[in-house]
Amino acid sequence: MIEIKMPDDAELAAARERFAELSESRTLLDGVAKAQPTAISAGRLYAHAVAPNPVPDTALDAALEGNLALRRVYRGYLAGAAVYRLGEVIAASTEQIPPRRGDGCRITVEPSQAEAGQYIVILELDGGGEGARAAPGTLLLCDRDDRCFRFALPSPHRGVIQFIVTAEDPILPLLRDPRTEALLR
Amino acid sequence: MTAFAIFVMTTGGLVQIQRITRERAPLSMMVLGRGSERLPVSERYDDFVYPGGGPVERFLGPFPDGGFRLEVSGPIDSGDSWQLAAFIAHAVLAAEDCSLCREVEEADKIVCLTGLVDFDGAVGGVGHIPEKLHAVEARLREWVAGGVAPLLAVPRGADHERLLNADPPEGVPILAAANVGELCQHLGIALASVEPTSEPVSGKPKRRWPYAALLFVLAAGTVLLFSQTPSNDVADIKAPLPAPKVVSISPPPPNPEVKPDAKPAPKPRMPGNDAAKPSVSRQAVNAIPLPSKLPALGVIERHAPPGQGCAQIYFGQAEADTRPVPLAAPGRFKSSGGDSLCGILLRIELGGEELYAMVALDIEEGRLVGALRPPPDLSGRRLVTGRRDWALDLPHRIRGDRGIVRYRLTLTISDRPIRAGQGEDAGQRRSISLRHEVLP
Repeated sequence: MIEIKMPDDAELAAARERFAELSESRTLLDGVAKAQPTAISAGRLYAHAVAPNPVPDTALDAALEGNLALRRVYRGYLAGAAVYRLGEVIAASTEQIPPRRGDGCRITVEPSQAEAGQYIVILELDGGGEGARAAPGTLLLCDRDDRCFRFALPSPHRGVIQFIVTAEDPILPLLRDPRTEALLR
Repeated sequence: MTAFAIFVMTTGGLVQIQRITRERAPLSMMVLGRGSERLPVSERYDDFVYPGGGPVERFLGPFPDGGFRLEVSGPIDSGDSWQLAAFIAHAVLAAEDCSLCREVEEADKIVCLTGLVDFDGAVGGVGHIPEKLHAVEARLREWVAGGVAPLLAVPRGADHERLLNADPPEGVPILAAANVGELCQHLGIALASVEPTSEPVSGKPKRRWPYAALLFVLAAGTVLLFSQTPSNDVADIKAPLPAPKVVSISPPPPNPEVKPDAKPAPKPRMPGNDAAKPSVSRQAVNAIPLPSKLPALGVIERHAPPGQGCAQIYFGQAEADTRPVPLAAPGRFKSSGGDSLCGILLRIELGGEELYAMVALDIEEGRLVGALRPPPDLSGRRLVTGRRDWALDLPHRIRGDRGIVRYRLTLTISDRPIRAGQGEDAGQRRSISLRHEVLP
């Protein structure tokens, strides 16, 4: 039979005090850890940037959201892997969404004539898209805060990629902003 | 006005073609309803309506810049059996006295179709007819019970036989379609053959409808030697633009707002051998009879008179001898040439009714002096009437090098100002196009 010796009052008070100290220190350490950004290696960032269809990575997304330097590096990787760059906005345009001209391609947005609240995004590839460059499958839009967004593209036909979006689509405010950089790959 | 409800027979049931509109976008799209979902068959549909690619533009065009948006009631994921229904829907859209309706209750005629349509308008087989009939049978019976007799149209031949063997519902007329011309005629949709303007058709065999040939012969007999009118264009049937009128045979007035003269024009003359014709004097050039249908385009050669050179013509020191150029084929004028040829005069006859007109000159080979200076009021933005002449000179270099000059002249008229990229605001448009070449 096991006999347990119960602590006396002094020992019990000391145990309570010790437990409180440990608990407090653990809480403090946990808080510090949560406040620290996740360490993202350059390799992980690069692999995510150049992957055609990257696996969702919430830790990386969170790190990008909170770290401007990381976003700039990520944007640099994206730009390096792009097939087309459409940085230039045709500034003289008076249209609501300015057309963009890049090396070998052009992007315009036309309001639908048939349905109010719908817009047609038109990507025209020079030479019918039959040059040496691969047909793009993703449109990347990087805003003024270096946040980059991916939009999957349908396959080109006769050198044109065309799709319809509604007025609420997040692509429209990005294309409307002349400071947004557009990349294709 | 006959309202049509057009359905595609698919193995998944009936899919209605609800609306066709124009969009300011290069590719035509097939869209699910009024939404923004572009169906996977959109690329095939674009090929079907694209100029030079499919029968729609060939039979019902030319169309202004931009693509179509064809709205369907349900998804069509693959295959091409929607082509016959899409063609008929476009024909309904083009016909003046027909309309496409979204609500079946508003339809005067319900037509359910399946079949391919090739570049010549021939209807091709598709297969899976029993499955398609099974999928649509209940709907057909509902309509028949409601006192409406929908028409089924399938390709002639094996598909038609399979449909008959599959025990179709009673009271549903079945049509075996061989080509779109016959089908449109049966449905009461006005569809005139369009000679493929002046573009040579690639190696495919040409099939023309008998009445199209008759139309062409009649048209050829009534146009002038030097004019190309849209009389053989399907747009001529649908467009309520200025009716052909006769205007006075007089020099072009400085004021474009000329009033038509009631004096009838002389009968058109049949073409002859222009080489054997005597030169027509400068004074006579304006007395060339007008074509019987307007607007029209004509080409007049400007030759140096005997003992004079082209320099005298260019600098106004001598009057050019003018010779009208006859048509060699629809949309194509007989080639010009000769040592004395200094230039050409493009004559645009617009008639007495005010309209918007835009002229475009595409130089395909060589060079013409003055090609960048069309008559200023033919920009498509002003109402114009009467006649316009556009003088073009052959450059010395080209004449010296014995080079060839080839060009295409296109006149577009409309009841509204003409601007590029207009969608439904384009109004009623017609285009006339001609080709001509100056040989070395």
